[in-house]
Amino acid sequence: MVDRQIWTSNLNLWFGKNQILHNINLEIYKNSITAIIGPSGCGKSTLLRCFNRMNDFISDMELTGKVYLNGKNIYAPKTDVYAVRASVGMVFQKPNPFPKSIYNNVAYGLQIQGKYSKSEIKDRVEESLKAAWLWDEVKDRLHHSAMSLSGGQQQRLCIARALANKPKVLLLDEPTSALDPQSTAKIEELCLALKNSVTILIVTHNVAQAGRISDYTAFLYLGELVEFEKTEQLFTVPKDKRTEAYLTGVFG
Amino acid sequence: MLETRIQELKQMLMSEAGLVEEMASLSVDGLYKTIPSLLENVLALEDQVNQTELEIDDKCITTIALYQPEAKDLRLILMIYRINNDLERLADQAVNISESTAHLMNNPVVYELPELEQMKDNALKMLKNSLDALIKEDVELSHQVCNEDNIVDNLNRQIYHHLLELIQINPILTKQYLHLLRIAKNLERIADLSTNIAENTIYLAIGKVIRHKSEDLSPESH
Amino acid sequence: MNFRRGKNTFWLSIMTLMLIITAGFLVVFIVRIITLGAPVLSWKFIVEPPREAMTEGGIFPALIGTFLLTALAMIIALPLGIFTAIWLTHYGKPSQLVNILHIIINTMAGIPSIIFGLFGMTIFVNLLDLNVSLLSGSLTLAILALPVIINNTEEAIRSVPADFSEASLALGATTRQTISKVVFPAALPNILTGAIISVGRVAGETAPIMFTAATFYSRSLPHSLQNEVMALPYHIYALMTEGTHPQAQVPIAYGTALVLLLLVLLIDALAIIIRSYMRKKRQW
Repeated sequence: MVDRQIWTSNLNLWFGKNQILHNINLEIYKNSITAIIGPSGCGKSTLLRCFNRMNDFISDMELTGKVYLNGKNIYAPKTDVYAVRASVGMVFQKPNPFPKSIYNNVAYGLQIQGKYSKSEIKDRVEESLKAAWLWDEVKDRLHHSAMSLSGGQQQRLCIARALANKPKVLLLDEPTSALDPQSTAKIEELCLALKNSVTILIVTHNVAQAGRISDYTAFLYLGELVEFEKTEQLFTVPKDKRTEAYLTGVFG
Repeated sequence: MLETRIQELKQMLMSEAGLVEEMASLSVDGLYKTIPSLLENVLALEDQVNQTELEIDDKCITTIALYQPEAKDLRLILMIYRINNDLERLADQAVNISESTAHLMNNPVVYELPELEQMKDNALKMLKNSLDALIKEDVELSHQVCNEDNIVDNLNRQIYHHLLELIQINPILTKQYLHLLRIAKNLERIADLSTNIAENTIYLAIGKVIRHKSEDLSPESH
Repeated sequence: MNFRRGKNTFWLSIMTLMLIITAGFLVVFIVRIITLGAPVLSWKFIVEPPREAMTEGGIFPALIGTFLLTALAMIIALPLGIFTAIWLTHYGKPSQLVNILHIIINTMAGIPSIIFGLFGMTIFVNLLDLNVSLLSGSLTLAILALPVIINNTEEAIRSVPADFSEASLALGATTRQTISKVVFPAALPNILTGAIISVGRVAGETAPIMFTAATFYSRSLPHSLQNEVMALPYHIYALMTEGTHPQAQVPIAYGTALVLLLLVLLIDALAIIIRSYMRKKRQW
């Protein structure tokens, strides 16, 4: 029985009067890659952002239910939301490194916590850049601006930045949709390598990508978790007609 | 990712092929030697082959679903799927032969039909060659196998006529002669299936379909 | 076809005429000031105080006064304005309050400067008993500059891509950290440019300082916040309306105008140079 790392319990979410997520019960297993697929606008990104409380910033957001990270409900009152965010890394669709040096980008997450020494930070920066397969390309120009990197490199930098805090979970929101095929392939391989040290949850509108790299796939349709299954199973014999319709291109 | 899975499929297929070869030669050896527990051994091997056949089947389907292979990769996986099927049927033939062999062990009747030994040698050689050609993706060897099918077919016809004579001469031995007839038929099927494997190997290697063609199948028609 | 070409030519001529008229005004205006003011311009003019009932000497005290008024006004207005803008962009709740505040700020931006002067006199000079002084004048000017600084800073902050803030918050930073470490540094060039331009405007205001700080003549340079000060724009006004010896004083007025004009142009040029330098360095 595989351990679960993060899971939701009867999660419902509204933006104002619109209900975006309907009674989601989703379990993500340790050291696996889980893909969330589904047609556009059906709540995939919203669901992802429940796991690091980034939806809190939407002013009319309301949420019921629980979201557990390592056994603790992160929506319980008195939760240190900043600690939650530091323990869950996030990478966005459009690479968004800060207009700072490569070094300072990766170090940022550590610097804001104020509890690491300079040498600790230096080691972590190197470790993270190596884990993101970027070290060799930037080790001689750590103090150059991050904006001088190519799109694929910037995204790997964002991954390194997210990894610096040694998160248990990495949330990826369509991380390769703005990249060319080679950069995409590199990042997919990177994910496969990273899953041994961090649990990965990836939202993707590219079904083939989900097939290539994920162990489990969750199909989200109109805010409902229609099916969650081992990817091999879901892609060959899905249990729900809607899943089959989506996979065969009937809609979405 | 995809390459790893293709490698795994190849290895699984090769080990299945090895088992089938073993089953085939074991089953006919019993005609000329005393082999204790021949049928049990062959049936045990058949269990393994069936198991592997299901695994390869499943893996081919999931590989296509997850990785959308193209070109050579796609042909390879589809041919592995087909050949997997043929291997399972080959195993069946070997089992059938073993059942007949079990009845004929140590029976001198076998030696009245020398063509049978010739047919057995040819069929087993075709099987071995087809599997070798598969591993090496050897187009020429595959063509050779396809050509040899005629020889086995001829031997089969000869055996049929010879057995007709033998039955008329010695009607009491009809039961044994009929076993021999069945064995010949099974050997002919083995030759057919080996030809299938060879045809599929050619498609895999160069993308050319040569199924259902009756003309001379040598690479360069001279 | 010819009719169309004719129409084009007609409108082109009208537009060229308009351009010439506009440019003409500007040229005439500048030429007049230079012609009338340049004769009195000299190094001495700038560094010496006025003598003989403003008929001779220079405008040094006015220069100092303008400098002090502007500097003090900015010291008051910049922090106030920047923090207000930060509150409005990042902490503003509820949204009705933010809307009301925006309306107030934009209204303030349109209030005639004489009303600011009156306001300053009522509140600072009389009510708070600060009298006509450097302090009253600076406070009044600060309030004048505040709406523009707030709007400019807000725009500068909003022009920083939200991507950066999102990334910062997702890493576990607080809003305060995000502002101080990411948003504010990124918005700084634009904030600075806006501040510099405000300086230019504040330096040239007459009405706000008329009742609150300025005096026609002071014997010595200001040495405390309670002192009255001379100021360039007021000096021009005073010379032209209350001067007793127009023949000598009108040229001095024009000379002062020229100095003020050059000062403002210099400051604006500085702002433009800084902005284009920052634009080149901009990384997003």
